[in-house]
Amino acid sequence: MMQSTETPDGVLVLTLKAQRIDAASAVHFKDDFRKATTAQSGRVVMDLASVTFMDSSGLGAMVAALKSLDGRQLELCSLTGAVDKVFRLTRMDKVFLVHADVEQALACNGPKGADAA
Amino acid sequence: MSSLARLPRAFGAPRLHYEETINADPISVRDTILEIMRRLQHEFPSQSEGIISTEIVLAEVLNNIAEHSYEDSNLGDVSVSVLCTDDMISVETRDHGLPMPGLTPPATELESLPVGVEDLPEGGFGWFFIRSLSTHMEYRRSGSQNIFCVQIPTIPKIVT
Repeated sequence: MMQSTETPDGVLVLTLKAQRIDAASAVHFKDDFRKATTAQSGRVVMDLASVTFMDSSGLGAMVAALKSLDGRQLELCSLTGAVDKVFRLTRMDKVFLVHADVEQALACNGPKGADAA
Repeated sequence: MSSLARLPRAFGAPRLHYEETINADPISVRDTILEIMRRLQHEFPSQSEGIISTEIVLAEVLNNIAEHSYEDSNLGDVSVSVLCTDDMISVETRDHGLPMPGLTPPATELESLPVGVEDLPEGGFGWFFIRSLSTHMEYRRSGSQNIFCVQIPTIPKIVT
């Protein structure tokens, strides 16, 4: 449910292909995330532009994904509609590093660059 | 102007009435939510905030029934009814699974998030979403039946 590409700078960009991260797909999401990020040590940027809906199971899967990075940030892009709402309600938008879109994410120098901005 | 025309719109005829009995499993829940959303978007094309809230509440209520009332068995019916007026979207569910513990919906407050990523919660957001996005909710057990009602304003609550 996600396509992974690596930029010349070694940033892993995960582009979600699914429209819903919910109770029906949360386990699949966690498995795919682990496969995509294993043996990878650089920045991880996730593009959520195609995701129109996320529920509490989906949000839990996002937290599990963040934890699996062992201290590295999980950078998120293009949160819209219900996705934006569940992140803001739980204040998870302050826990994850959120960018407006992938272009902005790649234009900054990662978590340190964004914190300084 | 007739006196009826001055009544709050909530007293008006419902603009949408959906009713269906489905199997309580994640795929059926998702399909049902998509169908309800399609109808709501058609009926309220300009009320996106209320519709987004309703989609989240529906997912949490129905998945709670699948997970807790029917203990993830993927076996068990739940009847869903959605009734909308201009101001309010009312959802009612009826199922024959386990009663809610203490016969009351869990009280959930979102505590301040822990500083350490490893301590972040991976669940328990469901009832917080339902409470945050609705203006009224009610649960009762009637015989072997759970009846849950929740109301979501079409124009969102002011979040403080």
